[in-house]
Amino acid sequence: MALLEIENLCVDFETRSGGLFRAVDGVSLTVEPREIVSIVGESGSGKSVAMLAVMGLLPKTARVSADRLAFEGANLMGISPAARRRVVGKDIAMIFQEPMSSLNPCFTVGFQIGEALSTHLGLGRAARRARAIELLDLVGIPSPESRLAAFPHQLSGGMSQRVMIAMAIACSPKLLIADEPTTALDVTIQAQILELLVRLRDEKDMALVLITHDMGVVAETAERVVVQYAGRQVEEADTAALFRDPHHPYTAALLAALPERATEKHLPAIPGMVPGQWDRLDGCLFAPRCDVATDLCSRVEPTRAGADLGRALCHTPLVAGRPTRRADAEGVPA
Amino acid sequence: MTPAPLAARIADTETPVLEAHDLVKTYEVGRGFFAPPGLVRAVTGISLTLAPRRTLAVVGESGSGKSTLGRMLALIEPPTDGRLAIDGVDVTGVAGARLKALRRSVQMVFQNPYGSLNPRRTIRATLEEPLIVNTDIGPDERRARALDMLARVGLRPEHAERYPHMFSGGQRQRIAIARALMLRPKIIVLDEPVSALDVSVRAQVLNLLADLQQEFALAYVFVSHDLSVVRHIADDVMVMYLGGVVEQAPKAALFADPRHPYTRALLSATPVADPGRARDRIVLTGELPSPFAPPPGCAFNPRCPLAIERCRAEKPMLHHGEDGRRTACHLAE
Repeated sequence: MALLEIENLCVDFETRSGGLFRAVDGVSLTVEPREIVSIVGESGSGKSVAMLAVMGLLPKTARVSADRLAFEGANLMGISPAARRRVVGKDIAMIFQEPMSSLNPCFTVGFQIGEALSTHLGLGRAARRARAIELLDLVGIPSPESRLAAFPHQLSGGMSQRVMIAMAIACSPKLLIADEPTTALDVTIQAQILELLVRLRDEKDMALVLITHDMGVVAETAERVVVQYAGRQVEEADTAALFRDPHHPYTAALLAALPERATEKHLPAIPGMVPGQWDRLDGCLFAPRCDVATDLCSRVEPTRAGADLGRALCHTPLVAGRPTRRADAEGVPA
Repeated sequence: MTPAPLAARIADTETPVLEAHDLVKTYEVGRGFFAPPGLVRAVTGISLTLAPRRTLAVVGESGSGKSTLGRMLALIEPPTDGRLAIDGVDVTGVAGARLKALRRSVQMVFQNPYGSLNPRRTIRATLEEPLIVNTDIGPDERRARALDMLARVGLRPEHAERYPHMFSGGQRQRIAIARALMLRPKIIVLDEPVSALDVSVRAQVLNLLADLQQEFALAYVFVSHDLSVVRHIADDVMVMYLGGVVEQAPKAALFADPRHPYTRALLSATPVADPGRARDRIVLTGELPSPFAPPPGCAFNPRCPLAIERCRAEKPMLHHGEDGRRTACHLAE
């Protein structure tokens, strides 16, 4: 059974002008046990919002709807906040981008790790302390006993992120959602943290959803990748396949724009920028920046292609770099 | 758009526009009411030269002193010790009007384009300000120059009367670059200019920087932690660790054959967007030591996988090798 099932998840935000802004538009995702799935996208692609919706951490102005949102077969939509809290933090945990600001500056590390242990597992004081030491040791913090009494300001960025991970895995979750866990860290520390996350997956049988904008991190860590653009899921594929033969023009352009893939001094940049709240179009949202867009793309919203084409949301998905008319294309004039 | 024939003619790629010799920056930091203030040696003796149309990338982790070095080169902070010459003029000890005149040749672009532009000023006012402060150019000419520069960085004339909040991150960084160019500097210090930008926009800004460098014969000091960007844009690379240079080399040589163990670890830790690549990652243990109490000997020895007894006792000097390579490691000598 799939661990997490999301079908057609949409998140709308009420805006100050009274309208609705769709931040996440029809995202579907299943995560199997022990799997590492990565969600990539630029800012505004809705990658974090989609996962915050799963966690139930969105503000009141957000309206979440989904055909199905289930964890281990149990529905997460429309359950009471108390019922959700029994799952969130225990079986699903999340870590965030800014470790420094995600920890409460007023409490010691030991207390903050202990909170989840007493809430979800009802552990007593001595058991909490023993477990906290064990966790800090597991995430690679030297002399964990003495670190229990440390306050967050006494820790470096890498240490704070390790503490965050220790808190998240305190109740041995089945799914860990990591939202840009290494973006604020230096590369040598980033390598340590990614290594730690993969090791925890191996040892603790934990699935990992890794939200990132860094294609390098994706290539080295993930098994499967979901690419998001402007709230929509544009492609989904196995990591190796995605890097070998990207099917959506956005994925292809994103990979080509990476400096490490460049062959010339001039990078093949994607012109323009991500559409904002007011410039949503009828057709494909990527059409204005796409170099293979046709008239059809700006008028008609594309449907999803088959799994062999990376479920690309495109009228003419790329095959070996060439736009190809889909076999399942309906009678729409090209 | 007109090219800049004047700037291009002045350019002479041989004479360096920037020369630094043994720059040192020390900060005094209070450590509580009763404790004596501590000394942080942020930069510990760095020498470099930079020619027009060349890009020197300064690479290092947070706390390595790379931004402090950038700020000294941009004349924002005076060095505690050492000599700095811009365009052949020694700037150490210079003050007042002469310093102001020298400042026109060096400008800086900061990392966060959301924080570096004044939210209450229109783009035109932001671009004109360096001219008002540093020159006596009249209002009409100022306006014309601002609009011209806006076009050169790829923005439209109607953007001139807008405010920073109306622009995206990439556009703001273009504006910050335009502002730095208003005084026609010879050197631009870019402190993590693309770190805050998305991949697709990052490529646009990197392309713009490459174009402007040719057009205005600029010398870039490119401070960055992102080795894939550095590999793309730099001519020479300087790797810093805890305030000092551990390795400096032309880009191709450094990436093909890193000599210092820290450079090797940094290169192997950088994720590469290629899932098929064989991984032989050197994962460094531990973190950057405190600059209050740098370890004895080589600053890198507590994290170095190759450290020997000598590394813990004796500080390695920067050793000059062939092809302009410099390495500070006992084992690389």
